[in-house]
Amino acid sequence: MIAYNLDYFKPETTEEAYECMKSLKEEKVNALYYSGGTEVITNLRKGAVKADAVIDLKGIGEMSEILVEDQYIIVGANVPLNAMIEHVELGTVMPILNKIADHTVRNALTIGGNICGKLPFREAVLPLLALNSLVKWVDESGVKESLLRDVFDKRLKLPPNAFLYQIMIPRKASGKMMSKRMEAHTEVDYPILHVVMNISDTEVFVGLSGFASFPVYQVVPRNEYDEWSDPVESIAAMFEKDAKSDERASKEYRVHLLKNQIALFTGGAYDSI
Amino acid sequence: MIQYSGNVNIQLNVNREIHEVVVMPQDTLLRVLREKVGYTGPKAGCENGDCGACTVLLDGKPVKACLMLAVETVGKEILTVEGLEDTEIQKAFVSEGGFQCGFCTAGFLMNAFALLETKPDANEAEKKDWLSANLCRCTGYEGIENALNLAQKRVQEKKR
Repeated sequence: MIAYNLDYFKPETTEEAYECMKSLKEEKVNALYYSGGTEVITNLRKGAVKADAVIDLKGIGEMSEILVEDQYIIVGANVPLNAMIEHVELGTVMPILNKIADHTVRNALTIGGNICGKLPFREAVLPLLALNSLVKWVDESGVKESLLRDVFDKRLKLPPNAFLYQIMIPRKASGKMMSKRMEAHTEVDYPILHVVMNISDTEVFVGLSGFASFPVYQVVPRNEYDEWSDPVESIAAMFEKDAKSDERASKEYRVHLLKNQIALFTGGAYDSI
Repeated sequence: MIQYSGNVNIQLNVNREIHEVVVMPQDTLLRVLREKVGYTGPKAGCENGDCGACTVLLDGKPVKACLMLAVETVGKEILTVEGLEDTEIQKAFVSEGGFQCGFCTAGFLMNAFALLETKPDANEAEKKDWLSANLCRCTGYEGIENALNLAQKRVQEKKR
C-alpha cells in the first residue's frame, strides 16, 4: 500500500510526456517517469522515494515495440524483459536478461526501467554496453541519439526532464559474449557479481553488476589485451578500486570471484590459494 | 492524455466480468482486487514482489499484483484464482496435496496455470524458471511439483 496521494498521467506521445513532466516540475510537483513500475511502487511503498505524480510512458505505442531493421534491433524502453528474452533476434542478450529478478516480475519489469532505476544493479545495461548499442531519448527538442557508452557512467545521464525512448542493438554483434551471475543464497536474488565479457576482433569489454554500488565497465583495445601477460590480474586491477563490501559479500570475496571467473572465461591462470 | 487524481471511477475486467470501482491512483491492483472488487484469492504476502502470493494473470501473463497500480490495468483482462474453477491445475493441486497452510497456493496456481496455457510442453528448466517466482513458507514444494507434473500430463493428454 502506498500511504499518500499520487496523481497519475498517461500521455500518448513523446511530446505530451515531456511537456507533462516539464509543466509539473514548473509547478514544483515532484513527478517520476513510470514504466513497468516494479521498482517505483516498491520504493514509494517503503518511502524510499517520494513523488506527488507518476507519468506512465506505456501510452506511447512505439515504446512498447521491438522492431527489426537492417542494422539494428530497436527495442522500446517500455518493453518487458521477458519480451526481449523470448525474441528470436535477441539470443545474444537472453542469457543475461533471464537471470534478472524472477520470471513473473520480468513480465512487468521493462528494459528502460531497469536501466534508469535507482537500484545499484541495473544488470540489463551490461549486454547493451557490451554490444555498443545506441540509445534514443526525448528532450525539449525531440528525439536525440547517442552511443549508450557516451551517456552511461554509473547511471544513465540524460538532461533534466528527458526520458529514455528506444535502444538500438546492433544486429551483427561481433565477438564472443560470456556471462556469469553469482548470488549469495538463491538464484532469485540480487547478484554479488554478474560479469559480462565480450571479446571481439577490435576490443575486449568487461562489465560488472553487484560488484560496486553501480554498474561498472571497461573497454580495452584488442591489441592491448593481447599483449597482457596476465589478463586475469590486469582486468581485476581495473575494477578493484570500485569493489564494495556489504552484508552479502566482502570486497575481497568479490574480487576473488571476478578473478576466478575471468580465468574461466579466458582460459587464464588464477591460483586463489 | 489520461489523467487520474483523487477518487476516480474505473472499470476493471476481472474473471471475465466488468467491475466498476472507485480507486485512488496510488492503489495497487492487489489492494483493489481484495478490498474493492472482493476477490481475496490474491494474497498480500510481502507486498514487495518477492513471494508471488499475489500473482494474477494480466492479458494471460502472470504478474505480481502488489507491483502494479490498479489504474494501469484498465482495458486489460485480469484473471485471479477465483477464475480457475475446474481447471486441471486446480484438480491436481487437490489430488497431489499441493498445499499446506494454503497462503501461497493462489500464486502458485496462477503461475502454473499460465505456464501450462503458454507452454504445455514446458521442460524441467522452464518449469523451475517460472515457479521460482513463488515462495512456499511451509516448504511444500514437492507436492506443488507433483501437482504441476500431473496437470501437465493431463493437459498434454487432452491435446492429443
